Amino acid sequence: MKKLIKKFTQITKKDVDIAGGKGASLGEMIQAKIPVPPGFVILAGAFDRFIKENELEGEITKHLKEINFDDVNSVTKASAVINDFINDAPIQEDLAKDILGDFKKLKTKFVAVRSSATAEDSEIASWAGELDTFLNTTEKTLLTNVKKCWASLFTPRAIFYRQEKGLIDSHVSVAVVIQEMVESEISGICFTVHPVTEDRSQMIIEAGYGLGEAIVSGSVTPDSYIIDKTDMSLADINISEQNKKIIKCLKEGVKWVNIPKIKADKQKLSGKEIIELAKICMEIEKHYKKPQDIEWLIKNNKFYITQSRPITTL
Amino acid sequence: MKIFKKNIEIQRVAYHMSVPVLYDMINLHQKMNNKTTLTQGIWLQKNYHNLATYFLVDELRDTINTTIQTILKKPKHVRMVHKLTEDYTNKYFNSSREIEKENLEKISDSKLINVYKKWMYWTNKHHGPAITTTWFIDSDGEDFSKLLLNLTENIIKRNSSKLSTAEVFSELTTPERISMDIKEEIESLKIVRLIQNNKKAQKIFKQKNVEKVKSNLDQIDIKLKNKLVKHYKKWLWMPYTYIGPAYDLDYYLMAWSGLIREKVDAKKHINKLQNMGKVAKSKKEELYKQLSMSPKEIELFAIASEIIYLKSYRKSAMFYACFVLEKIHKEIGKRLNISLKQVRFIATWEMEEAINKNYFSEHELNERIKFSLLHQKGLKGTIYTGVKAKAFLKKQKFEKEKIIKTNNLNGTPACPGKTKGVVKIINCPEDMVKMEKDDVMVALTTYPALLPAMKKASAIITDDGGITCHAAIVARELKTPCIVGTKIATKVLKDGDKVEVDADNGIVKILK
Repeated sequence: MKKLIKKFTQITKKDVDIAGGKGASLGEMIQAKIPVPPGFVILAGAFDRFIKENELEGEITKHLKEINFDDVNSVTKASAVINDFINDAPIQEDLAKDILGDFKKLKTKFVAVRSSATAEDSEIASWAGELDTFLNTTEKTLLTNVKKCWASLFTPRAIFYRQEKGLIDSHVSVAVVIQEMVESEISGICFTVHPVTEDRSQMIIEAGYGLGEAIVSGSVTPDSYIIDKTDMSLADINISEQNKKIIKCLKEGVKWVNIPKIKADKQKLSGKEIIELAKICMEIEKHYKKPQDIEWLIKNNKFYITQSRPITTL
Repeated sequence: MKIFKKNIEIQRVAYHMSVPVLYDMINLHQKMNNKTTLTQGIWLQKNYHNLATYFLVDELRDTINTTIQTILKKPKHVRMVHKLTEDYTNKYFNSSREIEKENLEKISDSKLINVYKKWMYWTNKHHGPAITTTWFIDSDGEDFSKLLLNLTENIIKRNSSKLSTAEVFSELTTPERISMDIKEEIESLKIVRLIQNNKKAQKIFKQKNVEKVKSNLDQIDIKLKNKLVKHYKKWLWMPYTYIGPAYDLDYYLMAWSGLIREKVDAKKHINKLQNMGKVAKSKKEELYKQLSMSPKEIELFAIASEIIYLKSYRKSAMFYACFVLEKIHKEIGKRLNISLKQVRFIATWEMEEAINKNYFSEHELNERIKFSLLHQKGLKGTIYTGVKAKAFLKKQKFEKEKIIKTNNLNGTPACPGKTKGVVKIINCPEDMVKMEKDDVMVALTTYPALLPAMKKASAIITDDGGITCHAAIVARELKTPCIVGTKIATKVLKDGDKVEVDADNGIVKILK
């Protein structure tokens, strides 16, 4: 049988169709010596096999066909039914063993489990962000969360999106990224081209305390730093007071906590750190030869990149 | 109990300007009056704005009264100090020119410190000696302007003359030397003449779209093109004020293209501008005779003209220096990994150590940007932030500002004339989009970056005052009716108000 799990180090950007956009990008960055936390990808083939061997395809198609898109309830209902099918079906024993085996090799207690969609249509890649991510997953919940990622192809939101794009009948699949969970002290995003002014000589970094989800979801207003790429100088700095952050819980999952007043209004990254990060992001842009939308974090004074994808709006 | 009184409020500025200026004010003003009258000042800063600058009310009044007495009793000494200040300002200009040529990227930290110190030397020194005449005397109720206005009235009465006070006053105080702004305008008009005399260039500049003008520049005769670029490089700093921006080439291309399309008679304008000094001089001499003015009176008005010239000149020098400083600041920012804005909040006394360490606390700078104050006491300056700043302010006593409700505003007539128009409040370059031709421009104060709006205005009204303020000087050059020193115009008037401006008598009437 074809191997259905690959380490990041075995993946390149050519593997989008088996590892999904997110998975392929992480592999590619590791090849380019960009600091990415280690992990592996459960390839889309695993999902396909899961569907096939549990004989779910017919049921899924049937329920999708029955949807009346003018009626939100009918989408929600179909989504719930498909979700139940996926949750109730078992993962093949050998596959489950392999997943848990590779998890043990990571030698970490916590991982992030992320969906990484694949499809013939490249546009699908841009809805990767619409699919689910489960932070702070332990061995105990790993397999459940993998299935949740698979099921996230059929959330009401995802179904609507595919309908809108006319992709409802085309074959979509999903890979799952398992990545060591680095608990960030500070995290954020970087656009290697200023997204508002579209000035290619400037990049913008946003930074906030805690896990990156707070910024990505727009729940907190981050600091923003503008870097002049021509001479790697700081063009502008805007500080934003941050009163709460997301951290991982001791056992499982994440939670919001308050930030002490004395820290709340501090500049999140020092100027030196900003420039260090900007240089890493420049490397990524140079590697892909395209402006990038990057997610990053810092722990114990070390930067990690957790995601990079091309900016599609330019 | 010592009471502080508000004296200045400046837009778009940071500590790179206020730290040397406050030092200068407190420690070099003695030169004019041979006496220390100011011992401390407080500067409140929020983001890029100076919320207010305070001096002790008794010291401020003493400074103003003593200076006026010095002008009246020792005019020769005053003119000598003015000469010295002009000399310092010349040196300040030269030093900035030298710094502009430096290539800072590759020099060592210690050399960079030297360049910064060179910048600081004349910044700290250049206008202190004449600060009492070029700033303080008209900064708290326009004492000096009022004195001259009264004197003008008396002279006219004494002669039973029918001349208007405002007009005579304006003519008697017009400098005989032209300002930097006029110098630039003359040179710019010379460029317009060159374009007009060159068929190809004229055709290119007739295009309305500045992008097209720019993309066709290479087709112009290389000598002419070099002259255009040279003019731009020589004068781009003019609107810079304290934090910029400078003009870009587009600005000049647009200005020249506009004048070409208007078919402006450049030669006539150049002659007029070049003769401004001479005309002012002969008008004055005529008035001296016609109104049988005494040598003492003549001397007093000569000093007033000198103050107006000097004030504008030293401001130009400071704007140019701030423009040049941006280059130094950017290099420092790169080495310290901080932004240009953050560098501008480092005090001059902190800079050497910061460069040596290649570090300055970002948090401290961010706090200063958020809200802070500079307290200059004698030679020592201290910056307070956050709770410490609030605690410091709590300990001081401040005079309350009075706001009067009225339908009429009074101020000092700075350039005579009468007009009606729609009010537009213009305090920063971004506000200028509101301004349409023949609107009445109302501002806290004016500075070169606001010039395009001033040129459109049918009248100019400011809160700040004195015949030596920028608005008064420009209005006279443009022959636009102007009232300064209303104190409250920007608070009483709002966009869209219809007003009648009587700049002969300094009255603004709100028409309902």
